[in-house]
Amino acid sequence: MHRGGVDLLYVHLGRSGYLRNTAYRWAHVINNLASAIFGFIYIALWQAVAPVQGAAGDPYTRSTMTGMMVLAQVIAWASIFLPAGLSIQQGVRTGAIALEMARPVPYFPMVMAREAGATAYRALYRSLPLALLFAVTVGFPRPASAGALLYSIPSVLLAAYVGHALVYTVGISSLWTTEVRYAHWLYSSASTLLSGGWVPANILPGVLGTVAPYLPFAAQAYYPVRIYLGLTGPEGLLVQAAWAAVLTLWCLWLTRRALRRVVVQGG
Amino acid sequence: MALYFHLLGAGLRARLQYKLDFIVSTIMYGLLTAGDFLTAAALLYRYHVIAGWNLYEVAMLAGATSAAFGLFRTFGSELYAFESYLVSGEFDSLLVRPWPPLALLLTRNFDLGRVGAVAQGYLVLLVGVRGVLAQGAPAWLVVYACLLPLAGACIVMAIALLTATAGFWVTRIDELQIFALNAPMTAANFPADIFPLWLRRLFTTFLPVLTWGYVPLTYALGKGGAPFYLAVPFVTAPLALLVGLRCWAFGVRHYQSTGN
Repeated sequence: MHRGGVDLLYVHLGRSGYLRNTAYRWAHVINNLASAIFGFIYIALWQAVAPVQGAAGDPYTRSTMTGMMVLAQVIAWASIFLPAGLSIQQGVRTGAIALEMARPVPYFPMVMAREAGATAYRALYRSLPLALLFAVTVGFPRPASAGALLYSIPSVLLAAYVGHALVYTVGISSLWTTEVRYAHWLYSSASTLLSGGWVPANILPGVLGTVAPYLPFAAQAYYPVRIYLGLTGPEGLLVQAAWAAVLTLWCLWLTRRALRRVVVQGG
Repeated sequence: MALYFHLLGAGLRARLQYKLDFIVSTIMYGLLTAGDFLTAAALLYRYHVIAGWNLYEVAMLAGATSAAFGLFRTFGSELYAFESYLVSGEFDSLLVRPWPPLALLLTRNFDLGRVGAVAQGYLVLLVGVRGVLAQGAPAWLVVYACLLPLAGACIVMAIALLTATAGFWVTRIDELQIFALNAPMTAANFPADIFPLWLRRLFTTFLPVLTWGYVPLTYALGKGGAPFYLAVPFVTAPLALLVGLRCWAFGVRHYQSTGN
């Protein structure tokens, strides 16, 4: 397939990923309410514990944390709250993955293109309504500066990419395990605790607080939120970009290994 | 009830055929369901108290909630997965059998691996109890605290029944479950003093997840309230279950099948 054809295919896959999700718009509206309640719970929690005025060197004041929780809840729909295993395991179970891998386009970019469309849908029907709801209830935080706003755009895109690459790893593991239940749980627990979305990664207890900002999970929420609020400069993008590169190589290598593992089940 | 326990025994024997899966899932659920408490613990490590509740007191809330939800997921796993029955039309096959469909549904699968989540919940609860006893709480709290997850499991089951009942009309209920079960479960891990009044009202009335932890422990730990707070979980649980069962029966009568 020539280059232009491949590009068009990716666009088409993205479009189909978007359209497939529109079938469940009303269910997602209800889910947005649940997501908002999660947000209100964590906002209330931080408003109860965070000081109104932070001590010297402590940026986590009540208003900052409220903004962080709002931003995390909005960004999470692009980078954390992703379908388990990107539904790859379903293809493994039905055998459809054999056909998908046999196509003349690489499997990993194909899945990512499809998910790009789904992410665009989630941004429009999940993140945006949530942002509006928070804006009229607790207020949507303003960016620290024009530069912070500018840098936060690639940061959010990198957050979404890293999140998808992590979940892709979970999904592709189903070629070895068939089942991704535990891997997904492990991913969910790790990203909830270490992404910095609900508790800033650098204030986690002990050595965890030192290590967590440099783990891939921090790229999912910790850096985009901090960059937007001006707590981290553009150097935060470097950590995210580094993880995006490492995870891309990892996913490509894993996919090559997976190709050798494909066994058609059933008939 | 005899039929329920007969089917329960059969279901347990079926699950125990896969011993390794049981052991692995028990350990995994036990470890992974500690996530919410770890988040609270991380906060308490830095700030020491949340609205006047210390680590041990919050551990009691989180432990009771985790054990309650674990008990529900052990015995009500198919109710939690009820959407798939409605979407595939599989629920119809339960209706044509000469037994109550709810008993059939609940006994189809016992998610024994969730025992790990129950054990983790009780462990966190008892660590909390040990801590508050050392701070001078009354000794009867040991027995009382162990009963809270049982009442909690009944209340969660009642909410799940109401959510499943909604499915008879709207079919897709997974997202509704996140709103009615998962989000309130997160709230039940924390002292409700921090929530705005509308959220506290929601979680004590329509989705009464504060009634098995926050409400009784507020009085038991000397944070206010009245003696009747101690009875709240054990009054709410049967009432909620009764309402849930009535609604379920109403829904079944009006179910028109998705057909396949």
